Amino acid sequence: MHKKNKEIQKYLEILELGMDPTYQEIKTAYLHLKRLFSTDSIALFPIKKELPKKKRQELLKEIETAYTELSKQYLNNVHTEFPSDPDAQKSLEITDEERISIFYSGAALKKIREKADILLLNISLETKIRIEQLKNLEDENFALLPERIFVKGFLNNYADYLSLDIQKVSTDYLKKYDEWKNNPATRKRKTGE
Amino acid sequence: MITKRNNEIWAIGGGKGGTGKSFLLSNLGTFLANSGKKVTLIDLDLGGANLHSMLGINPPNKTISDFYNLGVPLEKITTSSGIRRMSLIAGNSLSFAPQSIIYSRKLKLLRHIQKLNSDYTLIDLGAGCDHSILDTFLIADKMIVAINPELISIENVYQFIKSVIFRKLRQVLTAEGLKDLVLKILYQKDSRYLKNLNGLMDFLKKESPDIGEMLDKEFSKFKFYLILNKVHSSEDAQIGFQIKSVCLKHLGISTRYAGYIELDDSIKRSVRIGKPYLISYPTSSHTTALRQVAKNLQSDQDLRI
Repeated sequence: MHKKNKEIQKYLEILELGMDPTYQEIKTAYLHLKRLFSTDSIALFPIKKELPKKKRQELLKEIETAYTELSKQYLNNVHTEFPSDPDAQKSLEITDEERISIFYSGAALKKIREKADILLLNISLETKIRIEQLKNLEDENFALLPERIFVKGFLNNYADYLSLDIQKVSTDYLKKYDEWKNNPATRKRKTGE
Repeated sequence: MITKRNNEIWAIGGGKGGTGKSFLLSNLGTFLANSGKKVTLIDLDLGGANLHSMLGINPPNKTISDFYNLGVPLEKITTSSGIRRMSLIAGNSLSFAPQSIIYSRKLKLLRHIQKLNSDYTLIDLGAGCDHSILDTFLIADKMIVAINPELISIENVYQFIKSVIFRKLRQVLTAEGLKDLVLKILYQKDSRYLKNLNGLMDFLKKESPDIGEMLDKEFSKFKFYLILNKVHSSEDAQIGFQIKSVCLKHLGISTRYAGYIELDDSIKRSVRIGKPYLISYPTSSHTTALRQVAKNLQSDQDLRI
């Protein structure tokens, strides 16, 4: 457990974060550093010669890894953010079996999002999907959502934002969606009256 | 009995002229004085002493030259700044060539600055990075650099920070009787070490783990405070965060982004009139920004991305 904490410390340092960051802070830090070192930022220009391509790529790789590991870590602890007690951390981790068994319904997505302290506004700003549509997605207001292909697109963006398994989110959610769509009774509600 | 005040020293430096150091310093001092603190402003900008102009004071009779040339104590050189609780030790860019001040007098100045009975002593170092400036900068409790969101200014800041680091390194190593090591570093063929503080530390640690430990101790609390001035847009403001990350990742140095001030005609006007901006435009958003920068500096706070 302590070894793991040391790794987490290292990742926090790479993303220049303090103790116990929120998921939003992790993501913002990642995007800022990624943008800084992968584009021609004015702040980088004066020292460009001192930072050869190879070193830059190493840095970007480190940043990428730190982000991936920290998001995994974060979303593992759905019940709590980085607890300072290492034993507490162990008991609250979701095992791989448990994670596979999560069914990504709208309600589940909403719960994960809320635990991560992320507002629909945040996702909307990033993905350019309207807040009402994201809400409809979470509330499973299938009738108010656009065509299936768009719903799939929404899900991909949503899942990507929360660093979830895009495939599984899509598969799970669309299962429910398709059930509704293929049910003549509910379908009638969409096209009729 | 006179209470001995804490005398926290802030020094502002770095970069060429025109980044707004004097503007920032006079306003930061005004904020502190207005909040009840006893402040001393010192103008050591030998290239163009203009703190007194910023405050609308005629060139005072007593200046820092009196200390250097006549040995007048600092307390006797202070003049009124026009702001209650803030006194000014005016600079003098006319009478002497900076290079002619002997080293021992400079050291004396630094000792006397530290002994001033103020809550805060704010030093305007002006542009450039010669040894006097660096040595004075290094006695500060808070080392502040003023940056503009332009390439040249950013380049200057990196250069300045590197110069400060090497000066400090030289001081630390020389104090330990390791002057030879300093020469060794300077003539190091493998210039990889000279570009990055981390690389340099690694090199020195290889030389001796004792030195390494000592340097870790000296540099662990080493940090700079960044103020971004003359900002045009919100994209500009982000540059502060970028510089912070570059300093950390590439130079291995910690910084605090204390805040940013936008470019505005009203600011130019207040400089021309010769009155602190905080006084002339108390309700302006730029005043709010300046106050926040001052508070962040006091409490060692950063902007969040």
